[in-house]
This record gives sequence, structure tokens and C-alpha cells, in this order.
Amino acid sequence: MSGGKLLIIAIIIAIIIIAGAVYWYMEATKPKVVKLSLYTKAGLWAEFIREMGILESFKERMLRERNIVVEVELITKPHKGYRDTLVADFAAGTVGDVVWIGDTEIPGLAEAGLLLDLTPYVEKWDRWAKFYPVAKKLVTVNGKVYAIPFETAPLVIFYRKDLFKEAGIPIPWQPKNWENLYKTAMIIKEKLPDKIPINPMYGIELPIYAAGGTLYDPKDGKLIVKSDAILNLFRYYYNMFHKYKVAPVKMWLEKWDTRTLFQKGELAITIDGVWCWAEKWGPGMPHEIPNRDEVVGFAMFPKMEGGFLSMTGTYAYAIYAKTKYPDLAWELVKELVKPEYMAEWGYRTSHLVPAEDAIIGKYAEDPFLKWAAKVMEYSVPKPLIPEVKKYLTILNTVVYDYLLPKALSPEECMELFAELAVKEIGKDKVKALPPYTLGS
Amino acid sequence: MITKIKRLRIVRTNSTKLKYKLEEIIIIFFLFPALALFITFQVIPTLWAIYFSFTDIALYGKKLFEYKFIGLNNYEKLFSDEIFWKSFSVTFEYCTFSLLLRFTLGFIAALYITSRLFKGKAIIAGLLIIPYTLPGAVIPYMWISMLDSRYGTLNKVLMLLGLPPQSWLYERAMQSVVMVNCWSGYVLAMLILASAIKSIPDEYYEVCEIYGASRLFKFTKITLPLIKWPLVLSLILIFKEDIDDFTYVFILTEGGPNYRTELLSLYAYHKAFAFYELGAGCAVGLIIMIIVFLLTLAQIKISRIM
Repeated sequence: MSGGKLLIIAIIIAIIIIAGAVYWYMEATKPKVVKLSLYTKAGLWAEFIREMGILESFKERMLRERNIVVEVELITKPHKGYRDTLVADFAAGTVGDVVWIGDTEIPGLAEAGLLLDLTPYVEKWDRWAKFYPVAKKLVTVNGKVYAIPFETAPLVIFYRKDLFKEAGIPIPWQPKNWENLYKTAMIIKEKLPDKIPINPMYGIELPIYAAGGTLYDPKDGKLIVKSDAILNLFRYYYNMFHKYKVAPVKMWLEKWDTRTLFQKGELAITIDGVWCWAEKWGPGMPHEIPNRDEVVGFAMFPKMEGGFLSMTGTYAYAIYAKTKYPDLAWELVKELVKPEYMAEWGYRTSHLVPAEDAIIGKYAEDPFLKWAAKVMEYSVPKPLIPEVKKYLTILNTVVYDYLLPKALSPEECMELFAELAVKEIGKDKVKALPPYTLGS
Repeated sequence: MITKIKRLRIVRTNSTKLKYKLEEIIIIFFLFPALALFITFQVIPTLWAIYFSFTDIALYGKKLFEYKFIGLNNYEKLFSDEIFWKSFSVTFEYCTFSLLLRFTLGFIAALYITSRLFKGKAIIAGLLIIPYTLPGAVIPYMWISMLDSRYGTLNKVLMLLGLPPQSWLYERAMQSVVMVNCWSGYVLAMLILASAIKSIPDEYYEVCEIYGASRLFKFTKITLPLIKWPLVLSLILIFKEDIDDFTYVFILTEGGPNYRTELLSLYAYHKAFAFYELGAGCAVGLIIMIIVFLLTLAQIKISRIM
């Protein structure tokens, strides 16, 4: 073979090798494409994510930091019935990689092994130390963290200053105990007979805690179905609806829209979540009160015999345990809960931020949010055990189906509640606190 | 010669058999997609639901995956639950009143749109069908604004007429959900009966007219006997549609007050989603399915007679 031919062959081989190396290099450095999904509520929630460009900045960050092209699909579900849809989608395995979840759903889904244990992730995450203890409790089950809180929302009292003035009640107003609350409502009933004095409930279990009780004893893992506090819860509702008649029974039985009543100045006092301030009565919202700051006052819910108390819940981001990309899903969660997004969401919807580093910008300046942050100091979380949902459903049944329409006495209600709880939850999972017994 | 004919016959028979076989294969080929979908989305979930009804599966917690076979326990618990029986009687009450109203209104509407006496029936018929075309989830929301006891349109009208306002969604909860159901539901009977009436030959009526028969005579002796089976069919279809109704009561009353509108379907939903007892929810579903199945058998039998 002549030297010329050899040279040509060598050149061809060299070209092939170089081309292969270039191809290999290009393939190796080509970004990997990964698909993630984010499951959240439609409307305000999804719009916020879109408007803030959260997914875009996450994509950019992933491309920059990890050389990965992430396509994030936004799965949205209607606000009404969201919790039921979420649980059903988890059971069916059709939920997204990252999920917007309420604290009530966390324990059961964690127990079913459907939520990823985020403890190893938060242990290496500096920001976790900035989250408030109450917010952490709302997402921690048996010592394991299953979600990262995005908002918290304690319950408070809102009142109409204009109606209070008409009734001659001094403002600012802050009831010191339940008697105080009853008396104020009775003054309104007497002075303004065409107005509804009070809507005494949002959720149902707040008075148990305000009467010094609790739902669950972590020592023996049992739910409490008979106690002085539970009796006082029924007394509280009985007094409001039947004894003092300051809250019309029909308001709850006919499902009157209490937010509309409050907006229209027909309801003087209402117990509701802090989010009502902006999300319901704020500018451009469905129950907008144009002169809100002038006519709406706020106060903390009093304990039965003095002091203050609130209950708080959270909505958080969790990761589906069967996700193919847990690390990327965690990165997405970290993006979603950035302080600037928390603060903006909190300011827009008057939800409280669950982390101290998110008290920034307009959120930090808002007088209502500053006050609401104090309420957090008095807030207790619901116990995170799966049976609590059943427990609250039964409690609701007793109040809505027996106490309200049939005016069953508080003692009868507690008996009935215990009986139903034993039947539905199981005798081994509930207990009565002395002096009460389950059999009595 | 005879053997030749025999052979020819055998060849012909074989080719006919082959033709039939080929046709069968083609039919199966065309049926396959629909059959596959039917099996995937109807048969398999139904079998799962039947199986779950014999287990203690929960929609939530450990029992979502670690459930066990418990035989007839779910059914025993259901039959000893007074709320189940209340729900059963509520469903029967709802179906009965809905049936009466939907059928009566539908029949009247059918007579009207097929009558030769009135003008502009085509427009009216079009208007009458509108409620049936609205999505099921929109109708109750529309009615909530009508039935609200403080701001509702219905009470405002009553007050304008000097009548007392009504507590539609509490004291009259059952009447309200039946009313909402009938508002859109009468159209089914109207369509079935109108087409049945239209199929009666005009000659029958013309003969009656020649003999000077009254309208009542024509109605009782011609119309009614000739639409007898469509009448029964529409009754069965309405009952079948109502027995598993869910949307209206779920949105309007959520089964309340005090289970007064807790239809079986809602009871099943509450079992599965409020108490997370998916097994018990499936057991209720199976009971509804058996009722619907029996009604369907009757419906098929009547369709064949027609």
C-alpha cells in the first residue's frame, strides 16, 4: 500500500474518531429532559403560580444549576371538593409529583405511604429553621416531615364597627371570655333587632380548645369523646343558638352565606379565618366591603374563662411518594415556597406566612397582617392523626342534626357524640375523661 | 351425477360457512375497540367495586393498601345502620315524587307539542328542551340563588305577592330537590311520549272525527292504548335516572337537614369520603347497581314488546 493511500485512510479514521468524540461530547452535555407535574387548586391558586412566573424561574434554575430541561405540567382541580378529589387522586395514583395539600389530609396519606418523607431534605435545608414551630407541627406526623407549609390561617373574630356604634358598644372591642361574647351579642340583639348579632362558628372544634380541652391524648393515642371541654363546646353552641338566641338556628341549617351577610352589614360579629380580610372583603373580591378599614374590626377569640385562643391550619406542598424524580420535586417545592412568593400570597389573600424570613415587602407593612401575626402566638394546631377527620364529621353531625334543629341539651349531645364515636371510630380508639365514663 | 351434486353442495356449504366465519371475524374486529373500552372502563371497575364491597378498604390511612376480605360484614353493618334505612326510604320518597311530577309534566308537555290545536309549537318545544341541555352541575347552582331564603328570587316573588317567605333548603328541602330535579327532568318523558304519540297514524283520528268522537274518546281509546308501552318505559327510565341521583342533593343540601335528603348515592359518597370507608361505600353502590339492573331488565323486556 502506498504512503498516499495510508495517509488517506489515517485521515478518514482520524475524522471518524474526532466526529465520534464531538458527538459523544455533545450528547453528554445535552440537557436531560424531565417531566414533572404540580397538582393544585384552580382559580386564585393556579393563577398566582402563573402570574408570578414560578415555574419559569424553576425551569431556568434547573437548566442553569443541573443542566436539566424540566417541563412542569400544572394540574388544577376545583376549589369546591378539592380535598375529596385530592384523596381520591392519591388513592388512584393520578396525583401530581408535587401536591398542594391541607394539613387535615396529611396524616392519613402519610400513613398510607403516599407522601414522601421530607425529613432528610429539611435536615439539609437552612430555611427550615426559619419556619414557625406551629407551622412545622402542622406537617409533622410521628416525627417525620411530610410537607412544607406555604400559608397558615388562624381563626379570629371580625365585627362591624358601624353596627357596634349604633348599638352603643365601645370600639375597639375585644371580648375577654365567653360571657363577654354572649353579653355583647345580646346587646346587639336588643338594640338592633333586625340584625343578626353573631355567627358563632367556623369549623366546629374551636370551643373545645378554648374551654381548655383537647381532642386527642398522645399518651395513649386515643381521641377524647367525653370531657368537660366537650360538654362546654355543646354548651357554647346551645347558649348561642337556643338559650340566648343570638344566632339564628336557620343561619346554619339553611346555609346562609355569612360572608354576604357580614358584607351587607346584616351580621354584626362573625368568626372566620384571617384570610377573609383580603380574600373575601378586600378590593376586587367577591364580598368586597368598599370602606373595609372603617367598618370592619377584628378581635381574638376568647377562652371560656379568660385569655385568647385560635386554631390554625395550613396549606402546604407535599411530594407524591411514587414520584420518579424526588430530588427535582424537592427543588420545585423549594422554589414554590420562596419567601417572596409567601409574602406576596400572604399580602394578597391575608394568609399568614409560616416562616419568619417571609415577613418582607408589603406584607411586613400591612397593619392587619401585623396584628394577625400576634394571633399565631395563641394558635393551636389540630392533632395530625387520621381518625380526626371522622371525629370532626361526627361532631358536626351532632351539632347540625341534633343540637341545632332539635335543641338537644349539651349533656344529651355529649352522650350522643360518644355513642356515635364509639360506633364509627371504635371503642378501643376513644376514651372519656373523668368524671365521665364511656358507658354512662 | 348424484355424487357431483353432493360434492357441489359440500363445496357450497363450506364456502357459506367460510363466509359466515369471515363475517364473524369482521364483526368481532369492529366490535373490539368498543368492547375493549367497555371492559376497561365498565366491567373491570365494577368487578373491583364488587370485590371492595367485601373488604375493609379505606380511602385513607393504612387500610388503603393493607385491607382484608371481611365477607358480608359491610352489608351486615349497612343493614343494621338506621341511617342506611332512612336513606333508603328517602331515596324511595324522592324517586316516587320525582317520578310522578316528571312523568305528569312530561306527558302534558308531550301532548302539547304533538297537539294540532296550538300554534308555534316548534319554538315552544325547543324552549321546553333547554333545561335538559344544561349541565347537571350548573342547574343546582342556578337554583341556589333562586331558593336562598334571604336573598333568593323565589322568596322575593312570594313577598311581592304578600305571601310568607319559605325555608326552601331546610324546611322544604325534599320538595326543593324534587322541584329542581323535575324542572329539567320532565323533558325525558316529554321526548319519549311525544315521539310515541307522533308515531300513531293520523287515519285513526280522522276516522274518529268522521264519527264525531270527542277529544276525550280519542285520548282514552286511541292515544293512551297505543302509547301504553312507551308510558311504562318512560316510567322505568325516570325511576332509573333518579335512583342514583347525586349532583342536585350534593350541591343543594348535602343530604341534610338531618338526613332528610340523604339519597343512597350520597350515603355511599359520605361513607367513602367523609368516613373513608370505601368498602362500605362500594357495598351501597352495589345495592344501587342491583336495583338499576332489575329495572334495566324490565326496560329491555318492554322495549322488545314495543
